[in-house]
Amino acid sequence: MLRFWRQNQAWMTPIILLFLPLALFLSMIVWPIIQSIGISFYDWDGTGPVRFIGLDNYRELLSDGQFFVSVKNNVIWIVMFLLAPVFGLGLALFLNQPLGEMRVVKSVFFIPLVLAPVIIGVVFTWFYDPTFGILAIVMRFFSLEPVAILSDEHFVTFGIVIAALWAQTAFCLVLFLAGLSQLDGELIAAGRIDGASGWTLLRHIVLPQLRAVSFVATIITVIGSLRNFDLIAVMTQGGPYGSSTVLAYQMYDATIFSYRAGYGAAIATVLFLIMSIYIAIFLRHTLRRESRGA
Amino acid sequence: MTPNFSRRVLLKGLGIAALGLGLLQPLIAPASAQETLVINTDRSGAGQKAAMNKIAADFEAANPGVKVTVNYSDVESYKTSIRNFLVASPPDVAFWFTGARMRAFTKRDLFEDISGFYAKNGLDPSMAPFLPAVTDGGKQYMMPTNFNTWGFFYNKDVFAKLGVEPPKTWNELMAIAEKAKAAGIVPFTIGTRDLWANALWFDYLTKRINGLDFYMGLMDGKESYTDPRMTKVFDTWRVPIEKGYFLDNASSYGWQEAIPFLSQGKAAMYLLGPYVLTSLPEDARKNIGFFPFPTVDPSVPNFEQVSINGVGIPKGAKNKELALKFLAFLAQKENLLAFAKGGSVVPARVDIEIDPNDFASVQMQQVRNSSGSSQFYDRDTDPDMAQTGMKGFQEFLAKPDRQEAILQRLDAARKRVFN
Amino acid sequence: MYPTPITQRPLSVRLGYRLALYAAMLLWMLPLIAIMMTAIRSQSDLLAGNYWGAPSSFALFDNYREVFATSPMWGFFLNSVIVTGSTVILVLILATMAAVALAKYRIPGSTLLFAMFIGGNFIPYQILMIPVRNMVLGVGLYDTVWGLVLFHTAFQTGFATLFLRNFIISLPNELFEAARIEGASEFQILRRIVLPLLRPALAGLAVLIFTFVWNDYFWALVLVQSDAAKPLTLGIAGLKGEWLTAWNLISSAALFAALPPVCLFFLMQKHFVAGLTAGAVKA
Repeated sequence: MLRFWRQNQAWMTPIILLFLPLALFLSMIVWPIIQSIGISFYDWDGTGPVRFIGLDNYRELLSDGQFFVSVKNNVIWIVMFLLAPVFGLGLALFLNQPLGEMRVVKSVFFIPLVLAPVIIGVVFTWFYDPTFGILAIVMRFFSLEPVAILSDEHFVTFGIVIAALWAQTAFCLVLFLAGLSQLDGELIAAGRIDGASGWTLLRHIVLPQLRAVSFVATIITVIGSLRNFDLIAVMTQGGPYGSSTVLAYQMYDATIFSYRAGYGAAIATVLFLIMSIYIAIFLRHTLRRESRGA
Repeated sequence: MTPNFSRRVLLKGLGIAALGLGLLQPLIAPASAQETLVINTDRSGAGQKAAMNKIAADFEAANPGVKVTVNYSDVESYKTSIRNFLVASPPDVAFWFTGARMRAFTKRDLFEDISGFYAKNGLDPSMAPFLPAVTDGGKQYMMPTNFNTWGFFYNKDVFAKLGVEPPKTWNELMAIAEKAKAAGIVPFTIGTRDLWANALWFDYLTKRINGLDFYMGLMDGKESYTDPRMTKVFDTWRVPIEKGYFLDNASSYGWQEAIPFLSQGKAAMYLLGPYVLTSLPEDARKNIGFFPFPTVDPSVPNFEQVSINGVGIPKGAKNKELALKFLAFLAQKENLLAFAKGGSVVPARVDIEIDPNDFASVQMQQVRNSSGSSQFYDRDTDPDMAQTGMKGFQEFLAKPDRQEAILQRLDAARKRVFN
Repeated sequence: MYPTPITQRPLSVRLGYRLALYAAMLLWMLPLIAIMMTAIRSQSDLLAGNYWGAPSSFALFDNYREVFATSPMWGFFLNSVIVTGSTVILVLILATMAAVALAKYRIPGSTLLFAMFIGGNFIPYQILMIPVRNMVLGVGLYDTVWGLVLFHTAFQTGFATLFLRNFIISLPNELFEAARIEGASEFQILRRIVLPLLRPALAGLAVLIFTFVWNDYFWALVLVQSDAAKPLTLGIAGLKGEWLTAWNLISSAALFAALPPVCLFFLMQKHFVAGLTAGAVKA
């Protein structure tokens, strides 16, 4: 027995190691994804009997104005959210200084990352309150008519994204600070000797070294933008009249409030397909670089 | 898809493994008495919570060996979780809405038939008026606990300043609104972020213009949203909207955040329920008056909006006998009154003496004066329809010129839902 | 170091920098300050629309008293600790196993497996709602903290595996070869060579997973109902009355709930950054 193990451990070890994590992941994540796609072909209220209706849910989706509003908002989220890595990098450059109090200062800037999204949503709702909110008070101070950000179908999504950016920027900040601490000092010193400074130094010497971090920050940000849900639920419940709804929220709304699990699953499947594009990009990037490195 | 899975066995193994780690579990589970009664409720406001805790304690005292566990949830998460726990881990007692919301569950056989309960406890005469709301197919599935009515709450100082009296007709109401507007006061405050407050305008105008039968037909999907009678409702509703009588940016506020406008005198009126009063500090309440929704068409009787809450026993409850005992205990006059009082609502027994100074007596009077009632848009119609409808009303309040498109959309939803 | 350390600049620049730094910090903190101010307020301030002015009375302790008197807050806290703690430990163990297997052994289809872990990690998890609920029901863990542990562990294992694999793959193969030649068994290699090297990455990962799971509201809503199993996030939402939302209570409870991750973050900052550097930066 022991001899058998000694001879065969080389190929058996990875299988033993992988068994539990893989089993758990397959049963709790992969299988539900497949099921969810399955449900999208049914008419189902979530508890009662099911009825197979083929592609009807998808057909309805294409004639559902709300669906296109959601897709449009998802696009706004992705584009706006990409400011998070930019802001995060800017802040990281600003904070990357050897001062005594920096440990505390950095901690303060990390705090949004650990706050529950629900709380962030509530606070920003107060900010935007068109009568009592900070924004309204400031605008009135400059004799401007306060804008009701969360009541305006054109502004509402931007208002929510700004709240989300607060936490997401903190996340990118952490990554970039880590990246900056790993910079190759000799390269920078050499650059300085060559007379490069400020912007040139940043562009030609620093940024190339941060490419890996930037890639991770960008991908995580894009995924975060497609996943966002809590803030919308708290700040507007998708309103006014659905104008701040995104696919993830529409799916929840259909399933929970309208008792339409099948339709919700169809929305989820579309979201999953969109997400697959990013998964593919990430995977290609990672594997390509590794094969280059090997 | 049914909740049967091929990986069930494997998962069970994992689950047991996880449970093995659960040495801390006993720390949080309550020590088990001989008998445990589990109650799930969303009546989590401070007043009703305190009342319920006292009733539970009294029940324990009256039944030695019984331990009562009450799980409080907020209303929104309760709406999500009740559909899970009724199937998965039913408590012994569950509070819920009556009407269509209840029937959504009785249709799937998730609530116990308690028809015999009323006669056995001698409650059939005193609860009779509320029984239709808890009846499905001739059987009763819940016990009504309390009800509340709706109407206009107004700022007395503002009315005095404008020199107006509570209106009796729609035209008088509009005249007061005009006066308020001219004086720089918002006539109607309203918060539509959580959608439902706005449905009151829809419900009342529909009932007061077209009568209760049409309204119920609409709720059951038999009448169309594109019917000319519906157009009339929206044309009437449009007048105050286009004249700017409503609070600007209503969807920026939750229903509760719109109350300070009323109490501070920045707004004159708010069409809402008794929660206006419970939301305000004691001294501010004195300045708030009430009048029912005025008559719109004198040829149509005054149909009212009366929302009834109840409590039921889930089909899968472990302790049904004890649960019935608890329901009977809760139904006792003093308990039901205390419980209702905690939420400024009215106990669902006609034989309970109500303090004439209490707002409950006003609500009682309102019910007596009405020629019939419905509950609320989102309790009377299908949930899918209600969600689409209330979003449409929210849009109408902000963009009344989209009336046509909104009604088309609502009717498309009606056809989908009721076919 | 980039940018040029401020300490090498003239005094005026240093002063200007400090000023800008504290101004930025204040602006950044505004939302947090708002929460703190609200936690101090009494209910009547909020009902009067006094969101930003000075609180009319100092009600912080009253608020806390009410929060702890009217809800089993310590029970929620304990549930959060159990859910988050168990998940972090289980994820670290499982993900280390999977990551080592994927990074340092030749397995047929390892790319596919890796793709699956990435895919599972990147999906908008809301789409799993109904099937996962049914599955947790099926294994009898609905409305228990262990149902939450089960799901969070599965979901976070994907993320952690991805993170750790990238770290392990950068370890030189010679380390492994040398140990094998010396006769070390595969599990000895794992324990004596990989684990010590992995420690900073594991510390960083632990903090990250801790915050993710600690702040989860969605899954608690889907998988848990009774007070005995509710984590803090759901328990705090329960403070919303049926008809009245006491934001002052919710704010003070939220500050209480934010303490553990903030403390953890502060204490572990060094490890956290080191861990992220090890894992994510090399990705």
